Amino acid sequence: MKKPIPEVHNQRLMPFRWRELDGRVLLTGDAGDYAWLERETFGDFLAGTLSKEHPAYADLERHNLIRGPHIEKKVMDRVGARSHHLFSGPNLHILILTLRCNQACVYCHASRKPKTSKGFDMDLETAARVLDVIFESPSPDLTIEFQGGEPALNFDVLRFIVEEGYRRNQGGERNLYFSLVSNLSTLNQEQIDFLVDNGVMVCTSIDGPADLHDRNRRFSKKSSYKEAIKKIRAFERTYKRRGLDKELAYVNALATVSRSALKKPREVVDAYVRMGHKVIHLRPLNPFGMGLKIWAREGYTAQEFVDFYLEALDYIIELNKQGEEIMEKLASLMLVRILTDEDSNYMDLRSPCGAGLGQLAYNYDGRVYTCDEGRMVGAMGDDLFCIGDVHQNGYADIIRHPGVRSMCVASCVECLPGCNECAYAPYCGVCPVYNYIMEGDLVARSPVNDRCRIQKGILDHLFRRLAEPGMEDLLRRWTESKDRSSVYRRIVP
Amino acid sequence: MNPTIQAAKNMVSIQVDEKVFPRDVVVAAAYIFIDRCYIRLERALRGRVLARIKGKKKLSRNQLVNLADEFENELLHQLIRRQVAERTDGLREVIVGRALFSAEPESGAEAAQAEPQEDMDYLDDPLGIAIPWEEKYGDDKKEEEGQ
Repeated sequence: MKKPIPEVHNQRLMPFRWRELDGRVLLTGDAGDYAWLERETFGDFLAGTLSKEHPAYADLERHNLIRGPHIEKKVMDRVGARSHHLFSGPNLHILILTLRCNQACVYCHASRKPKTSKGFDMDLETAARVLDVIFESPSPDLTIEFQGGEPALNFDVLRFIVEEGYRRNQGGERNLYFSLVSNLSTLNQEQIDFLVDNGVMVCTSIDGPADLHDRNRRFSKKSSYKEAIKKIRAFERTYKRRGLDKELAYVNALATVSRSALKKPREVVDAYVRMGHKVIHLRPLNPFGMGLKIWAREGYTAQEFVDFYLEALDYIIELNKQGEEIMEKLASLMLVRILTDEDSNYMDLRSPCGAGLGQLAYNYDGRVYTCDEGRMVGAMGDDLFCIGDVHQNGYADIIRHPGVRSMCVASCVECLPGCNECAYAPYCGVCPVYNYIMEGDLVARSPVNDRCRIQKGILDHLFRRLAEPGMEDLLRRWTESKDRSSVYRRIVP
Repeated sequence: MNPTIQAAKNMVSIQVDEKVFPRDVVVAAAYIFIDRCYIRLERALRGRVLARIKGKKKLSRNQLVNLADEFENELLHQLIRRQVAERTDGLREVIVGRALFSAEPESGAEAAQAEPQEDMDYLDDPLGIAIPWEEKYGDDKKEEEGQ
C-alpha cells in the first residue's frame, strides 16, 4: 500500500499543483514551471523536512517552487506575460463567407449547403458592416479569417473585404492579417495571385494519404486529394515567382482525424512528409453541428484518439531523431505553454478561452457569435452563443452582451471544478461550447469529459517524453516558430 | 442517500442530507435533469430534502437505478462547483474584469481610464469613503449642538 501524502508543514512552498504519473510526482507552478519528485521526496517537501542538500531542493528552487527573494514578483511578472491575451481584446475575426460547399465531407457539419444553393452567401453590405465592427475592436492585431462552407465560392466578397480592409487600415495603425481556410479546389491562378499579392495566409485540409483523404472529402467524381495537392503546388510556384522565402510562405494544412484514420497514424504523418510539409496538425473530430448519425459513423472515443495521436507523435519524434524536420502543431502549442512564457494566443489553450474576448465569428447573414463553434451550434438551431447582428449592433453592444461574460466566467481554468487543482492548468484551456453540446452545461464534469481526457492524455505523454534525456532540446525546437508575418503583407505592385 | 425505486410509478426517490449537500446544491443538481425527468423537491424529516425524480419516458428498473446514481454524481459535481466558485471568487473577478475591460471599445476604455488612476495608491481615498463619520462630520454636529 502506498504511503499517504503527508499534511503540508512547509511555509516555503510557492503555490503549485501536482499529479502522480508513473509512480512519480509532477509539480507545476502558476508560471508554467515544473519539476519531478519521487513520491517519498514529495512527502518530505510537503512536510518541510526536505534537506537543502538534497539534489531535488535545488531543482525546486530553480523552478520557482520554493519561496525565495523576489520569487513571487518574478512569478507574477511571468504569469502576466503568459496571459497577454487578457490585455488585447478580440483579434481573430472569423467570417463565414458562404455556407455553400462543392465537397461533401463525411464528417461535415450540419450547416453545409450544396454549391448551387441560393441565399447562403455574405453580401457586400453585410461585409462592410462586419468590417465596421472589426475595426471598432481595440486590438492592435486584427486577423480576418475566411471560412465557410467553401469561402472561395464567394470570392468577390472575399476580394472586397481584403481591399476594403487594407483601405481602412491605410495608416497602418493595426497589424492586419488575412487568412483563408479552403479546400482550394475552386481557386484559379488569378485568384491565387490575388491571395499571394495581398498576403492572405492559406490553410487547407489534408487528412492523410490520397485514399483516406478522398474517402473523407467527397468531391463528385474527382480526387479531392489530387486537387488540393495541385493547388498547393500552384501556390508554391506563385510564392517563388514573388521571391518569397519558402521557409515562411507556404500553405498550412491540417488533418482532421476520422475513424478511418485511427489505424493509420504513420501513414498520415508520411503523407505530410511526402508533401514536404514541416508541420502537421492532427485535429480530433469535434461534435459541433454534427448529427448523431454522423457521429455514430465517424466518431470515436477519447482514448481511441489519444492512442492514435500518441503513436503519430512518437513516430514524428523518431523522424526528428533521423533528421526529418517535421513537428506536430497541437503538441508544439502545448510545448510553448510548458517551455516558454510566450502567449501563443491559441484560443483553445488559454484561460479564459477565446470566445468573444479573443475571437468573434460572423455568419454569412450578419449574425455574430462568440466563436465559430458557437456559430456551428447556431446552425443546429440553437442560438445560445449568438451575441448580436452587425445590421443592428455595433462592436460595443456585441462585446457587452451577457453571453461574452458567461463564456469568460465559464472558461477561467483557474476557477473551474476539476481544472483549478489540475497540474495541467497552466498549459490548458476549456471549451464551454463543447461542454454545452456534450453535457448540456457550459461547465464540464471533468472526469467524464472527453476533451479533458484528450488534453490530459497528450500532456501526460509530453511530460513523460520531456523527462527523457535529451528530449527537451529536441522538443524545444518545436516551440521556435519562425515569424512569418513578413511574407503576409500586401505586395505593392 | 439510499434511493427508493418505484418502478410502477416510473420514479426514484432520494433523500439528501442538507448538512452534506446544501439546498441550493440539490436544486442545481435537480435542474440538470429536467430535460428528461419531472422533478419534485420536498422538505423531509431531520434536515433532509426529498427529491422525487420521475422519468418522462418509461424507464426500466435498471434505468431508474442509473438515474439515481447519476443524480448522486451530479450532487457531488454541483457541490464542488459551488465550493470552487466560492474559493476562487476574487481571482475570477480579477481575470474576468481584466479581460472584459481590455475588450471594451477604445472610447469606453478611455472613459474608464479618464480618472488619473495611475498615480493613485490603493490607500488613496479621494472621496473620503474611509473617513469615520465622527471624524468627517463631528465638528458640524458640535456646531449644530452649540447653536
